[in-house]
Amino acid sequence: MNAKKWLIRSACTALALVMLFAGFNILTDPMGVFGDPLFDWYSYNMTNNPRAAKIAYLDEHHGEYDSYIIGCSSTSSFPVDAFNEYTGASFYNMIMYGADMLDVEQISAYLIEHYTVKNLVVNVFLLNGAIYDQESDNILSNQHAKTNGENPLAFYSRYLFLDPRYGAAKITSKIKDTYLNQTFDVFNVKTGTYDKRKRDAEPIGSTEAYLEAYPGFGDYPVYTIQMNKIDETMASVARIKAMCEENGVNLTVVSAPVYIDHFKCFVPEQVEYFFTELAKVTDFWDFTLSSASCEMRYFYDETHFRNNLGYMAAGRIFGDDDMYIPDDFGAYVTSDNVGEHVASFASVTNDTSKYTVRFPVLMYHHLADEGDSSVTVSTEAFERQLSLIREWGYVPITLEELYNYVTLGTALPEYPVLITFDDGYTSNYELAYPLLMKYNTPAAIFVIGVSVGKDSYKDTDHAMNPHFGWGEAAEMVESGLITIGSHTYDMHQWAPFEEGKDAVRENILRLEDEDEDFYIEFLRADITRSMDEIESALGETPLALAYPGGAWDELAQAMLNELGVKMTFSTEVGMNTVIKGLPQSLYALKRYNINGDTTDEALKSYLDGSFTQ
Amino acid sequence: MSFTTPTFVIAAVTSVVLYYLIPKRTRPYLLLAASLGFYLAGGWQAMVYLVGCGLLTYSASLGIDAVRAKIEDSSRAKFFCKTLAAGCIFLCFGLLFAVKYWDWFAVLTADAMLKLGFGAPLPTLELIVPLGISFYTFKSVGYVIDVYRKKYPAERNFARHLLFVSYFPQIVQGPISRRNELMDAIDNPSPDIALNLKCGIQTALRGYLKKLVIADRAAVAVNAILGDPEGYGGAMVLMAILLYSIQLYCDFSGGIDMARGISLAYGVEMTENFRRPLFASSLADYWRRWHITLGSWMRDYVFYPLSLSKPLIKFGKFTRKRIGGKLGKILPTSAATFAIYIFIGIWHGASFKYIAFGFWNGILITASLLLEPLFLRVKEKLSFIGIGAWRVIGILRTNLIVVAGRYLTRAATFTTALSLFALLFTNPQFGRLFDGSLMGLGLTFEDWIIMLICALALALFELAEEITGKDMFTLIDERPAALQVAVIAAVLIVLVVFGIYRGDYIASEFIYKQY
Repeated sequence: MNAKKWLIRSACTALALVMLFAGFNILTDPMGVFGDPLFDWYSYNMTNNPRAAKIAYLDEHHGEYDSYIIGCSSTSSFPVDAFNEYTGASFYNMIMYGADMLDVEQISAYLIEHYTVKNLVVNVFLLNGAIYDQESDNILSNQHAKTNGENPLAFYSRYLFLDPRYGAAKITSKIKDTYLNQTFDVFNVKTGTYDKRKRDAEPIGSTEAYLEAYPGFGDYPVYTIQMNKIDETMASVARIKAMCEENGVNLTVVSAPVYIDHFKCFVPEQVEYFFTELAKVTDFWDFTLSSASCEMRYFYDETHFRNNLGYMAAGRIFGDDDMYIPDDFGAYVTSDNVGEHVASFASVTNDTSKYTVRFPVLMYHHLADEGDSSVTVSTEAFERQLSLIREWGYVPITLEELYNYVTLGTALPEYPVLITFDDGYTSNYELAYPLLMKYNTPAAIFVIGVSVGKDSYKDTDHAMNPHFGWGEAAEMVESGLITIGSHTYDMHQWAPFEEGKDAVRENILRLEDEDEDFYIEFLRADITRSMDEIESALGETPLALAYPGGAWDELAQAMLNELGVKMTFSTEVGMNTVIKGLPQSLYALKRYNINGDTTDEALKSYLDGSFTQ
Repeated sequence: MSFTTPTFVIAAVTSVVLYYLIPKRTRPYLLLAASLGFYLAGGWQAMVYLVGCGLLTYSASLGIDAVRAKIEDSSRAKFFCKTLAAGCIFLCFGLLFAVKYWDWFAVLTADAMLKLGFGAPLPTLELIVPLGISFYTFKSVGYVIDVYRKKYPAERNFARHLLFVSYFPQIVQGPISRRNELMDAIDNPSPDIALNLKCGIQTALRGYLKKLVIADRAAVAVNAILGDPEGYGGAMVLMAILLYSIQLYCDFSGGIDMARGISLAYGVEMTENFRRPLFASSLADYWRRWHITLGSWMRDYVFYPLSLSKPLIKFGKFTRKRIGGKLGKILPTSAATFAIYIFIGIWHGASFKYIAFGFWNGILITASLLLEPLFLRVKEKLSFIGIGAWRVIGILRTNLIVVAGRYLTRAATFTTALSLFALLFTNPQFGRLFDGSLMGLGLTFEDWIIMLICALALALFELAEEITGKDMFTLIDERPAALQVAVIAAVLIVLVVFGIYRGDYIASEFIYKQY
């Protein structure tokens, strides 16, 4: 090959390679700037670069929204649905990790100029006092050329010639993709918030257990965060405000909650200056520091507060009295009261006894007239236990009372106890119910949908302990003492009676090798049917579900949240802690199993929490 | 500006295009402009040294020519010329010493100065070391000596002289060209544009491949291990030094390839600086293959004058008379050799470890000179071992010595080098080589694989060059066209995927973790 030919062929090869790379990047589009033609997977794109991918997404979908919440990562926990409900608007949460106020300003300007914007909620987070104009040409955190005025050629060519590993990673992630979010797809595309289905499905209990799961709260590093960007940040907020006024946009400025140990990293004088300057620019809702800041269970991690606090914040802003909000959480700050407000930071205290209760749950199954056994409790023993519970000072409560404590903050007795029955046996109606009436003791019964009113297994020849019917259930509910919950419709199958089946659903978990989509559809149909049947027979939506066999996992709990189940019960042994404002403290509640062998001493140790395995 | 930045590549390509668009006569001036532009990109302060060095050597050489033309009395002329040359050399090296060695010297002598009652140590200057100062100082000094030796007349056109001093492809890391060679090449560039571009691109691509795919990867593992030598143990440290030898070769010769490639694209061939040092059969042979232009500079401008200097000739007479025999004959040469290697050591930088490095080479080469008769006798006795086998033994032995010497150049200080070496015996931890530690050094499995494959391919190509005497591009050219295109495609893909994109990529799983 002569030199000329060599040059031409090499140039062609190089050109072909360039086109191959560019084509691959356009097709896989890992940051979503080319319209993601192959995957249309914006949750992934936003995880890579929220700033660019969200704008690319909104360019297609901005018609669905008329209001925006915007700011750094903590902004995610301001819930779009609550804001929608209170205002009647349609919000999109424009959170971007590490966003500084210049990002917020530039993107707000773009939103206002190009889209319909009625409301703008801006999170001026304490940390914004320390960072400003960190815009770089980093492909993961730079803005879209549309919002920061970068030369589009430079912008798009950066993504055109992106490291192909990003595209390859997207392909492999697609293969690994599951129903719930993973580390590579952390955004909820429709709301713009982080997809916190996993973290919001995790049961929360005692502080000790939380610390064990998230040790970062235990040894939070003490360092000083210098807020030397306050002036720049406030000037930016002022420009945003002017922009909103000019365009008739309703601006709400909020300061997101800060975890107490993180707050200690800031210099008090600088914090004061930060809020004083902010108050000069605009009135704002400040959630930075309150008793809630002192409660680690209200935080996902040391710098991000939970969605639950976000709901409380929205409730506070819009004056919702129909929910639990700590008294000192959130204040409307103006230039008149800012001094007083900041001074109040010094006296923030926390008293866990005001919003948490520790309590046991007892779990019964079948009762019999006489003869205790490992599965059956005799009526005599049951009656004795009911009387002892009262005698020892414990007050049996209903599911609803428990639920209201957590959601509304209503009071609970000092020593509450919850009595539950699994499976829905006729003995519950015939033997337990009269005694519960006698002792005026509330209880919850979890029925297996397919077994209600049956004494043979799913209409087969296999006889089983009879189960009460909907008539009996209605009668018991009528009394006001009994609550009926779900034990699934048909996910508590009994293997010996399921002849000829390859896979038997003994519990709610996904079967081995089962397709995830198929499982989810099955679970959804089963739970919906169970809930619907209870509701149509008894006139009220069940609050709770007891996991068959006590088995549960993250996916099951997240699915139940989605399906509206408020409380779940496991069979793990131990005391529970419920926390006001954290519905997660009602998930996978632990229970003490009571059977024919349970002694009075054992019962006492269950109730007072002294029992150890 | 590094050769590996996109800006440089774009600038270099632009300069090549311009070069062929403008009239031939003006091309050297384009090269000068490009060179000055390249140097200015690193800051104007360094420019002062460059232009200073250029002016100094320009005027000294003109002065020498003028003296010769004006003064007929040859002994007086000789004296003036010598003074001019020596003065210029003194100033040039003085400048080099000031920026590169003064502070080290001042710190080193601080205690002594105080003890000797000077009251205060020498002040440190904390000057920035201008880019490539060692290279252009040596080049320019060589030029002045050549003019003094009447090899060629002094350059009258300052712009052309400045081009020689500042020619950008070789200013960062050499080669150290001779004036006549470089300027002849610039004045008479190879006329076949397509061929120039082909050779330039091939050579430069090889350089980028060596640097970005091999050297930069090896560096990660080397730095990781040598960051905690005690923890990793002597075996891993040896591994690091081996990798460092690969890194150094690929980094240095890769840089030279880039430089030569760019220059070739102008049709200007530069002196070779490496000739497959991996296949050197003795340490002396190694130094004829590694950083060749430094070695030849030392030979022409230090070794020969030193060997022919009066004191050494006297010393030679003395040793031949008093010691006699082989030893007496070679002792003066050995002394000069020794001096050269110490000088080479010091050239590398201001530290005792480089002096030690000089000693290490000096001792071994002197020893091999002294022991040569013994080796020959042994060789004769072991005549059943073929020539080829001796060659292989020689190559292995040389590599062993070279790698051992690398402890000195890689370690931060001389004592660290010794302790690193000692680890091999006191705390080797051989198991670390196989327990997966290699995967924990910042390189992924694919990094190791691609690095080793490329390094192996490079070694095999060099072996083929060594055996056939043809360079690897000629060897590839002899293959079918389809294969040549495949090679180009493979090189480009490897370079882009594993060279250029390396380092920017953050797996999305990690992005969220840092939010």
